[in-house]
Amino acid sequence: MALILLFGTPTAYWVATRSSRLRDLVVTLIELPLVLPPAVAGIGLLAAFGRLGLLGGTLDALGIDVAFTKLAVVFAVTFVASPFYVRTAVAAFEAIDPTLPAAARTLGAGPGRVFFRVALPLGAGGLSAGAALAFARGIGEFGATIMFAGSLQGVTQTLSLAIYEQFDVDFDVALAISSVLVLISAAVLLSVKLLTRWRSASSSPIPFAPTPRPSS
Amino acid sequence: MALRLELTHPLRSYTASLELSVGRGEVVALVGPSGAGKTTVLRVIAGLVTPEAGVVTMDDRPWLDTARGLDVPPERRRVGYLFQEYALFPHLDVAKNVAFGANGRGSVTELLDRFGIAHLAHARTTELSGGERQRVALARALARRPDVLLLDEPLSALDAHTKTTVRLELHELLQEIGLPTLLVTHDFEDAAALASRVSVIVDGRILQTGTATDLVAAPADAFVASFTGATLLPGTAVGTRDGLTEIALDAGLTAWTADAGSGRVGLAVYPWEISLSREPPVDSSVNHVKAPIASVVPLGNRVRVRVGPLVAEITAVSMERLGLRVGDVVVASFKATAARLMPL
Repeated sequence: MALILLFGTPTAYWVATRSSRLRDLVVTLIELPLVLPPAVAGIGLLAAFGRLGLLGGTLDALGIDVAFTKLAVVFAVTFVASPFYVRTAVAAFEAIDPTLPAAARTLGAGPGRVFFRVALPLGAGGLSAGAALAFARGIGEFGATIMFAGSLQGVTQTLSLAIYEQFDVDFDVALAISSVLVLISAAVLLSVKLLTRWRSASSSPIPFAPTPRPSS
Repeated sequence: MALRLELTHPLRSYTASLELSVGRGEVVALVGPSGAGKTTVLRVIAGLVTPEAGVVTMDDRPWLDTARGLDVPPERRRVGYLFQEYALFPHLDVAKNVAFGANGRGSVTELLDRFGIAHLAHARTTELSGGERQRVALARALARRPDVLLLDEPLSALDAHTKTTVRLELHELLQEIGLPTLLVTHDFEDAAALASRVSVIVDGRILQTGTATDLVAAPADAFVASFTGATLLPGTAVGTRDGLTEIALDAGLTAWTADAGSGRVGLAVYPWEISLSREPPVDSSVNHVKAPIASVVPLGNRVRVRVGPLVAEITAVSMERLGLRVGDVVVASFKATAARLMPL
């Protein structure tokens, strides 16, 4: 999750503030995991990072083993869930009135200060909503994880994978884990709703209503 | 000489190409219709837009020189930019908005006091009235300690009631701070009230520069004339007599002007140079148009009266005294020297 926020936010800001052909390419790459079947994503990750994959040899030489480790779970979840965050974040940054960053520039703020002092606070509502969505998608990730990380209890077994396994063993346990996920999902959905409402109350363009000054 | 600008920049339907300079302590207004490229000029000076070709220098410091590939970023240009809708940060309160411009330099409290907004220091910017928003935006722009002030339509976001007061305040403020100031507006009256020099810009080109009085006294062409408030009557110059030129107006009337001209011409007459009476007056005016009043529009303590092809502006008091109503036949008269000839 931290990984998605750390890399997703600058990427989204970059995308939201550019209008080049490169932007279209980046957007396509970002959205690719959305349309890929999870199984394909799993195979893809295996092909890239698996022991026999494209980068597998290099990683192996460095003593790093990705596939079927905790790291693989992180990779799979990040890969599948990040578009949810980045797309929402791009929309949040694009919704900011472009004269505000421009005003900040003329007031002496460099691009970095504009990002941290203007874009981030104004986009915060949308960013949190995106993070919540990505979190919800990540927690339920199944296909890519089981292909790339397996379902090793205590190592790479996520809650969703556990449900699948317990389904064959003990239905009650599966049901219990499912209830936990229902609760988490409901909480996330509710927080998204609240955040969107808070956002529209705080950063939507306010209709300009001049009021007569008292004569003084 | 303080700020100097030269630019060529293609816009949607024309290429803006102009040169202008703003001297130390001078307030220059760039005035023109919407879409004339006024805001682009400000954005180029501020560094928010890089023109195809151009030079911007502030005193001896070059800010932009496309020929040398020099383009100083906006944050290092020391420009005080007042945006059209003021662009206050909605997530910061008034004091923090001003502090954003100050960025550690100078006293925010002092600025708030100076602009009479100290009591609003912790108010959200969205709760302010138009006049207050403008003062916050100005305080914020000045907190940056700019070398030049750029004002984009500083009064257009205000309602008519607030506008007159704020215009007066702004005029006093601009005189007081004495920074070279370039303001853009589509309203000639605002330009005349605020600026010592006015440039009329149309389709990215400056048509005429001068004091507001100069422009009204001798508009360079038909556009400047009608933009500064004149009624333009098209016609043909048919001859001269006693040093006056006779114009056969397309409206079917004859008018006399002190200007010389020939062929197709436009006759520009300012509404405040037309007087109204029930009978043709016995005075120096040679032009009389007898027609029924078509409309009466009150404008503060004055009234705009449409008579035939002319628009006259008289005081509400005279209107009352004459007892004029829509439909009454009146004589609108103006002097030959008040009728300016423009090539069409």
